[in-house]
This record gives sequence, structure tokens and C-alpha cells, in this order.
Amino acid sequence: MPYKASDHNPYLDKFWEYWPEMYKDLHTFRITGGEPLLAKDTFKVLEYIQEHWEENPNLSLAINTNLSVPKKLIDRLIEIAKDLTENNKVRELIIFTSVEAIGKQAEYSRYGLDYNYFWENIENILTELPKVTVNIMAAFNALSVFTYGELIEKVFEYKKRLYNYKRYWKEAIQLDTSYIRWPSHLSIKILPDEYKELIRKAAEKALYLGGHSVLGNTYGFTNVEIQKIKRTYDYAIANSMFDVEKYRKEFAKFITEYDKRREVNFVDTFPELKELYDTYKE
Amino acid sequence: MIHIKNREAWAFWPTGVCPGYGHNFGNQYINPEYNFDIKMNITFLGKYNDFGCIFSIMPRYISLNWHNENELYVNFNEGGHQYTKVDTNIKVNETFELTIGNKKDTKFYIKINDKEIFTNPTLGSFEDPHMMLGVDGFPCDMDNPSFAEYKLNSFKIFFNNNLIGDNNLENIIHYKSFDKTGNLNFLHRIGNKDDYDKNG
Repeated sequence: MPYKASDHNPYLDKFWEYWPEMYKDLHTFRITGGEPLLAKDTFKVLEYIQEHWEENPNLSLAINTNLSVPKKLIDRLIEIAKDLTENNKVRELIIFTSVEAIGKQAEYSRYGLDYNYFWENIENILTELPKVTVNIMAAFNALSVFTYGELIEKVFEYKKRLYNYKRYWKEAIQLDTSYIRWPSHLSIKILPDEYKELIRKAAEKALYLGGHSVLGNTYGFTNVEIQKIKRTYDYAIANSMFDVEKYRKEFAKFITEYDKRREVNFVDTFPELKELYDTYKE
Repeated sequence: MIHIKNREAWAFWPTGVCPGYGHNFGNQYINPEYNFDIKMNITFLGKYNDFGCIFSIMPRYISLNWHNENELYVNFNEGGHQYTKVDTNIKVNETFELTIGNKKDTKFYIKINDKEIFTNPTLGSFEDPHMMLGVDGFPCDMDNPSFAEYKLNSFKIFFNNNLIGDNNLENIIHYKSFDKTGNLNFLHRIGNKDDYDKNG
């Protein structure tokens, strides 16, 4: 059973009991979640590192966040991260977040996301923290295909503008593309072939926007970033036992319920998929 | 058209950006086991050093170098650098067709305007072959690269007489030309030593 925030949580007691001893020898500490910035103990840990960093100045620190929390929490994170990175209290700090489309299509896929606020926060983090890298963990799904190419262009603009040699990873931002396999009804395999082609085009765009240190482009998409988009296309077109008809029906059923419960409008947001939805909805 | 000049050399090395991405990367065919032709239309403009290197093939070193209006050399590394003066020359402002090619297990050749100016029974095989345009190696590793200056008017790659790379030299994306065939056989501008010294 999960504990409510108001409940006494014995796991937290144990964490804090072990933490001072554990911290001294930690190589990597990644705070995942839920949403870590909504947990008071996240800031308590960060403040502990601020005060005790001399016990372990080589810590690789990573924090996951959806970057959709109130501004005062983002500002607090930036304030602490500035102290940790500018004063070399950690070896590196990387912030992991997620988005896999742009604009309204991104907001539909991740209910609660304010797309412009999300990028405002990335802008603030990367300009206020010149040693920090943001990693976007994109969960590529059937709703990502139409705007992923534009997302690639947006990420590239940040790579180009905010690249510097102070960052541990040099690049300001990374786009780490993984594809969704479950739930199967959100997989890219439900898509008509013409839309799968958009994934190939997105991978090619990333390749043309690729960088190579020997060739002289120090910023740009890395081999790994490009290959992971190409891999997504390879997955989309690969022969498999995937039951397209079954999962298209489940997709339509899911969308109908999602629209009803979230009070959103799929067809208005994804006119490209209206025909598919209309064909399979009950 | 790409204007290749001092400190602005280019490379044909798509696998250098993303190895394993495509199945038809033309630089992989620079190998004695394949029939290939790389055809370039060039308007030659000059040099910046004793020699102006028009192209070099790496990592096994083969290059075409312009010394002055009387001397054009091929450097073919076969257990040591061997310079061969060829009996054809090019003049400043002259436009010509340069072909670098191979007939499977027969011969490697370089042609200017369809005239064979150099040939060798074997090209020799090497890992991840690539080609530099307008310089004799990686400028980032060299103190005094031999840059040449020319306008590259077209760059095409043929494999078994089929066109697999046709660069639109007007459409440059992030220092890369766009390959109209869709095979991603693009050219890529390359950096210089002091770019790295400056950036750390």
C-alpha cells in the first residue's frame, strides 16, 4: 500500500538513517519519482549535499521532473543546482524530463502538461545553469509521429545556442528516444504505413542535424540519439505478430474514454488520425 | 555549388556522423571489391601551400595535389608515400570533370575529363574509407594543411553504374549538403585545429 504524504512513512525513516553513511561512497544518485520536486525530502537531500559535499565531491547527481510543477519549486531547484554545480559540489548534474511531441499534441499525450511552460523551464535551467544538461526521455508512441520532426528542430536549436565546454556532457540538451511497446494500443505499430514514414523522415532530419567532433561540428545530434530514432522506425515497420486490427479497436476505445474523462478532443487535436479513429470506434 | 577554400575543406564521410544508419553509404564502397565512380565537377581556383590538395582518400592515403601550372601529382601510399607526376594539368579558373573510380578486382583509376591520368592494379582495402575535399588530411590534427581552393559544382556517386548519391550543393543543412537520392550520401564541412584549441 502506498503511503499518503500525510502518513508516517517508515521507509523514509530508514532512508535518512542510512543516507549519511551511504552518501560518502555513492557514485551515482538519481532521484526518480513520482514527481520528486513535489516531495519535501528531495530538497532535504539536495540541501544535505550542499552542506556535506566535501564527503563526496565526485557524486553524479540526476533528478527526474516533468517540469510542470509550480514555478517556486523550479526556482528552488535552480538555486540549489547553481550552488552544487558552480561550486563543484557534485561531479555532474543532469535533469531528466519527458516530452515526445510539440504543442497541443504534446499536451494531449501528457495530460496536465503546459507545453510553453515546460520549455520556459528548460530555457531557465539551461541559461541559469551553464554546467547542467537536460535529457528529454521521449516515449515515442502513435501520437508522436506528426510533430516529432519539429521537436527535433527545437531540440537542435537549444543544442546549437547553449552548447558550451563547461557542461559535463558539453551538450545542453539530449533527446533520448524510446518507443512504447505497452500498452500495445498506443504503439506506433497501429499506424498506417504512410505515417510510419514520418518517423524515417524524422530520423533523417536528426542525421542531417548530427554533429561529429572530428568533422568539426561539436554540437548536433549524436550517433546514439540518431540511431534511437532510426530504431523506432525499424520497430514500426518490422514484421511481427502484432495484431493491428485488435489494437486499433482498443486504441479507439481508449481514445473515446480518454476524451470523456479528461474533457479533451482527440479529433480536433489529431485531425490526421480522424479517419482511423472513425473507422475503429464503436 | 560549394566554395572549398582555405580552412573550409569538406569531407565525404557519412558513416562518420552515424555509422550503421544506412545500407547504401557511398564511402563504404571505396573498396577494391566494388565497382564505383565518384564524379565531381570542379572549377579550380588555386592553393594556399606548396601543394593544393584537391582530394585525399583516407585512411589509406591517396591524394591528388596541384603544385603549380606545370605539376599535378598523385600520392598513392603503398608501403610509403609515392608521388607520381601526371601528364595532364589543370589551370586556375579551369572547369573540369574529375572521376575517381574502381573496377572490381581490376584497377583503381583517376580521370580528368574522361582521360585516365592515374591507375593502379589495386586500390587496397581499409576500414571505414572516407574522402577529404580540398585538404590532405584532418585539419584538426595538422599544423600546416595543404588547402586547395575550388568551386565544387556537383558531386555524384555511382555504385555498379547506379546513381546512389547526388548532392544538392545549394541546400546546406548544418554544414552538410543534401543528397537528393535519399541515400544520405552527403558532404560535410570539416573543422580546423584552432577551432578545437579555441573551444577547449
